[in-house]
Amino acid sequence: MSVVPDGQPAVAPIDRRFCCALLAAAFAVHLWFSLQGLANRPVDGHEFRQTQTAFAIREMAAHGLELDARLPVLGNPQALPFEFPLYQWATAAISRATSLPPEPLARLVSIAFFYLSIPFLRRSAAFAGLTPTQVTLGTAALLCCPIYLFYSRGILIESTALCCSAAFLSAACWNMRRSSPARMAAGAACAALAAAVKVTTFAVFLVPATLILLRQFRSADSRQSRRRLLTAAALQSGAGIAAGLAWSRHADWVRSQNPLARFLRDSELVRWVFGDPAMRLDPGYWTSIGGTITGCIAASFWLVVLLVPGLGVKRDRTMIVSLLGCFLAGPLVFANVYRIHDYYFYAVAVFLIGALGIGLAHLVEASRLPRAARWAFVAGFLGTGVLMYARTYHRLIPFNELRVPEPARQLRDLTHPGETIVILGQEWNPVYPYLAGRHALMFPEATETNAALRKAAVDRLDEPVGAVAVFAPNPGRMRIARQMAARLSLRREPMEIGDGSFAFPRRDQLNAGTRYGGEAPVLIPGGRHAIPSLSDAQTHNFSMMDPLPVEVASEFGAEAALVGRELWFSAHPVTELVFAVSGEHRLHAQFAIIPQAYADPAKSTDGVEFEAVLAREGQPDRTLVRRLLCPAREPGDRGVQTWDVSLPPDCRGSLVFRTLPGPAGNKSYDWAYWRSISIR
Amino acid sequence: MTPVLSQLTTPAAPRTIFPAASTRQIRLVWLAAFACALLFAWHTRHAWEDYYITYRSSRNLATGNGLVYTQGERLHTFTSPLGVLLPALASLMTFNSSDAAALWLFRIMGAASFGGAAALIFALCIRHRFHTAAAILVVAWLCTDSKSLDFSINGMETGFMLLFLSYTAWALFSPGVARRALHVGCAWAGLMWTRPDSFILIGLVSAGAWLFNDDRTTGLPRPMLVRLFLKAGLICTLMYLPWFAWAWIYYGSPVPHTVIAKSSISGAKSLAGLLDTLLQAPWNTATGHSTAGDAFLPAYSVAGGWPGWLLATARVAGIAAGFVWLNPRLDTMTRASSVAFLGFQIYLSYFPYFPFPWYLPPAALLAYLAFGGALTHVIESDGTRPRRSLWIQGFAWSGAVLGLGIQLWIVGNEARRMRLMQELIDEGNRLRIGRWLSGNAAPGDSVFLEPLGYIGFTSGLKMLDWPGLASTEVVNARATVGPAWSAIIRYLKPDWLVLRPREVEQINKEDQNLLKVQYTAARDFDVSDRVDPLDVRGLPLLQMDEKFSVFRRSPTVPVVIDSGVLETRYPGTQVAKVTIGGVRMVLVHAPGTLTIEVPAGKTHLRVSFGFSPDAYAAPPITDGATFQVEWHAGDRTEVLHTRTLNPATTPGDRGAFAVDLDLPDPGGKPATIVLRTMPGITDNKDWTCWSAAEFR
Repeated sequence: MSVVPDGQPAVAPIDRRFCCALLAAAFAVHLWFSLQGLANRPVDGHEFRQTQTAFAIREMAAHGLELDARLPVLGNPQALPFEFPLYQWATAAISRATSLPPEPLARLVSIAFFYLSIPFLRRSAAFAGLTPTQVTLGTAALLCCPIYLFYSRGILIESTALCCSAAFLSAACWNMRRSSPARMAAGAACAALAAAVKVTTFAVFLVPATLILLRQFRSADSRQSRRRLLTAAALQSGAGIAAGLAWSRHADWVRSQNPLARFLRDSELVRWVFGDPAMRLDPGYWTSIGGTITGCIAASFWLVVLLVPGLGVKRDRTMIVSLLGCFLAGPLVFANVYRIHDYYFYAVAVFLIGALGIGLAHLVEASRLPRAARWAFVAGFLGTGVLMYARTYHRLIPFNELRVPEPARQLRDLTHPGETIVILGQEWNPVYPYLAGRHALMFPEATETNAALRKAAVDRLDEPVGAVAVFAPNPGRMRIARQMAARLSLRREPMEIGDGSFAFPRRDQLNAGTRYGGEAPVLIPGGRHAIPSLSDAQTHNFSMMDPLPVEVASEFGAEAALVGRELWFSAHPVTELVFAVSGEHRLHAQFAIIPQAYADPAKSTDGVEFEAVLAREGQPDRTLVRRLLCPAREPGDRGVQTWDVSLPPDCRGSLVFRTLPGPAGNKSYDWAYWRSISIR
Repeated sequence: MTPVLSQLTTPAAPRTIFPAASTRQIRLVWLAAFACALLFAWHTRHAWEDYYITYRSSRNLATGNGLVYTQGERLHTFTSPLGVLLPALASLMTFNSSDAAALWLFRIMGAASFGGAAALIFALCIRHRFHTAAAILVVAWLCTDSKSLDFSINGMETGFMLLFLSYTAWALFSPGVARRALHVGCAWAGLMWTRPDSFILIGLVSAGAWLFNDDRTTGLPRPMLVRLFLKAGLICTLMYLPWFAWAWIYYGSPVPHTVIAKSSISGAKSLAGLLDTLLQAPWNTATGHSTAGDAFLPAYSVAGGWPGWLLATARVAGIAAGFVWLNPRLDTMTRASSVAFLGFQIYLSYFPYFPFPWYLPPAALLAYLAFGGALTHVIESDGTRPRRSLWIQGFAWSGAVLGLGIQLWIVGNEARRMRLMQELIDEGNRLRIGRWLSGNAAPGDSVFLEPLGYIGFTSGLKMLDWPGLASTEVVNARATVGPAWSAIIRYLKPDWLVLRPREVEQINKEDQNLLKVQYTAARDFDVSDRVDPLDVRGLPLLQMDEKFSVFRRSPTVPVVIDSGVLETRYPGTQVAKVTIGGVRMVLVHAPGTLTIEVPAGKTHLRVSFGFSPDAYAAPPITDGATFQVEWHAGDRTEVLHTRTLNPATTPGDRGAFAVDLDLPDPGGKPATIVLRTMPGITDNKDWTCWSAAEFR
């Protein structure tokens, strides 16, 4: 390696070309992955936050742009602003202008903001002293990072916040180099916007801005230059902080107008955002943060392999340490939200990736490895980023329709547009009302027992109530729901709407609902049980079988569950159902692995073996029919499968229907079901 | 002096280029390591459970019954060819008269190999210009590595693994070695004879040597290195082929059944999964989800009982050893050892279903070499850079000495723990169980259990062990009925069960009737009163095996009664009389039989059967049973009638059922009628009854 006199390594032209080619390839990869699942419903990860943002966009697209975004889940007033709605405005405005559906548009706008942030980040990195190779490789790493591949396409404000904060940093660097009133004003505007859109992102970007300022301050050659630097910094940061505070006060006041939203006041959220001070000293906290970093940003192997040698080079050490400091500022300050939501790392992962870019450049420029090996390493790093994405986040994209929870579908079917759904047991989670396409009046747990508050909230509604829905039902909550249903002239008896939840719809929905509408079946604990020894409620679990089995054995407990509108018998391996047979018989059975078991390939079944075995005392067991279903791999194994088999003549003994884990013995996500069994 | 020893001590090239240890130093190191190992053996008398799995085959070989675990079953129930052949040789050396003497002979072989490993490593370090103190430290780390010491003398093959791995490193990395390909080939063959999965280690060390090859020190450019590997590979193949071919012919497969049994419960493996393990290796090590830290910890530290600081230190050491190769200034051997350590840990973390402690000493050896090289790099100037500051040197020395101190602390505690384990668990429990079974079980009885070693060896019975190391039946059963022990026991119907309390609990949870109905508690072996009060590090390992319960399959006892000979598993209910539908009957609890001689000249039989009404009156209730009338004469058997009744679910099956049957012509031979009842899935309240037979 040759080194030029100022300490900067010389980069061979071929390496520059490789850099550019890699960047182009990384951009193509990012674009290709970003456009997948563009029309997805916002149920592909962090559904709460995505539907919250999508709700505001949908309301703006319907009613026009508003400063105070509506989130119609806590009744009236509906305005529940948190962040300055730049992203929501941009999406709703385009949607209104083009009549394009808001959801795909929201994803495109998010992607656009991400791409827009890249020039700002590159400019800031170059100003901070990174070499062109480091900047280029860092950009390629950014494009191949799982967290930027996934959340850039989410219906989230993260990319808008990143773009605004990157613009602020870039403007700050610009003003440090040469300032003018117009540039100062532009910088202050960027800072104000960044702080209003997402103050937690802006606050983190103040750290690199401060570090660059300190460096410039130290190297400034005159008092006048220093004064100019301080003035520019104060003006821009001040504008940001002032705008952030002003917007926060305003949003807080608007939220306080809804009596049910008191728990969303800023004063109530401080602990939620910052967490307990002691949290930062808890090894468990850092284990959780480390898990997110190594799972969502860069594999720990690369963190060690790229950062450790870089730290050994004096030229790069300060920069890497500074970038790591910027990166850690987020989880150190906003500890709780970084622990709970991995998408918060969207704001700070750029700094870690900058440090990795330096490591990559070091590998390219200074390694003694042959050129092919060096570039293989770089390609390996970028490739493993994409591979990590493909094995984690990307698996949330397919089968999107299956991720729409059943209660949301049922609530949509049970109510009419223009009706409000009263929901208990879901706090203020907008997923169900958003996906049902209805406004909601949700009672957070702390408020649901307050009868006066409930009555006032219902009275404030300007839409009729279409149904009362109860999630996580318990006797107290069901009693409240019955009272509300009676008062609102809804059906008195609840109907199951899936996932263990119930609804009290309008009386004209009497014929709707599921095949099973009676007493909920009761779980049969794990182990082997003779059916006659079970209670009636436990025997309900076998209502899809004729005749009843004589015995059931299961490892995790046996019960029937609602699949669609039918009651199916859950047969998580290993489960056995034993039927007594004697004489001529024909067996008819339907079975399946439900789609949720293979919708997310990262968390999917590796197959379940279904078999029917004839067991006779004194004779070897005889397998009558056997089928291994691997729906994740074999499309033909999806959906309901049927056996229709004649049993051997004079068949006496026991017929055992058994589910077994796949060949690997792995029982994870083996959500197998018997839809029906009949032996005649 | 042997040629190898001569090369260890006398450089092939001028001494000024390649320094070498003296013969005296080499012998001293060997003696010291050998003495350490024997001292550990003498103090602990430890014989590892798995030694006796292998030794049962060794003993069969030595006594002329073939290299098999169970006579007549050609099953490859061991992994290490040397680990089974040398104990057989040791047994022969005692004229098959003393298993204890054979074990001591094998211990001496293991200890000698351990000493050989230490001597080779010392010679290699000196030849590699390690600082003398660093070379001594590497040997000291090895000699105080508790797992290396223990598993070199407790009957496992670890001493030989260390010897041949050291030989590989010496042959590959020592500058100026003559006939290098032959040495490397022999070392590799030794590794393969010791453990057939050694090709992983061979590949990793070779890959490291190739990747970080510096021909200025090795004298071999990369293409020549590849040629060397090819030659060595050929020699290794020729030397290992006889065993491979013999095992294939003798057992029908060259793959040990132990590998098949273990791999069948370790889940599916994929390239992507392996890549994940590599990519997250540092994080997994830091959080204790990798074996890298375990290389420096006592055996089964995962069971608990060791201080948190020790686990944290071991994890730091694991990460350091795995990434020393990142420093480009280090020599080839140091970097290759480090990358081989990393690769081996990834293999151990991903492939085996549990990283057993005797897999880890080779990894520790590689780590010690990497640490020794790094230490030398820090404390000595190589001429291309200034010497490190005294602070850094001091830090490095402190770390090295502290590491040795921790190893000494561990080995002290381990010596005590393993001695107690031998005394209380291995001899106090397992050996006693085996002897008790030997005295109480019938030849040919089968035993289902997990701790196969001592019990299998001393009882000599047919073992149905989990996960099936010595039993194809268990492996097949798992594939047929799933991994639940209750299902496997129900399927295989072993005569005896040897279970720990938590295993009993789990089986009862899975199948509440199995142990109560089909088995009888025969005896408990419990040393918890001696184990629990102990103040010893790593106590949970001992507590895991402090109590065993032995269950016996409930026998059927023949009893002569008025109406015939009654056999049932429930002696308490034997001659109970019941009236069903006005017919007086005798209770023949299913499974059971009532055998009656057919009077001469009788050609018709009338008999009634049915369930006692109490069987389905209140929970728990019967799930039905099958009634069968069999006719036997000489070697002729005919089933005359079969009927399954389930009175709990079918009201029509309640009451008494009479059958009139024509009897076949016995041809002058005495004939018998067997009235048999067979349970449904369970024999809960299978109160099945037969009336007295009426012959016409």
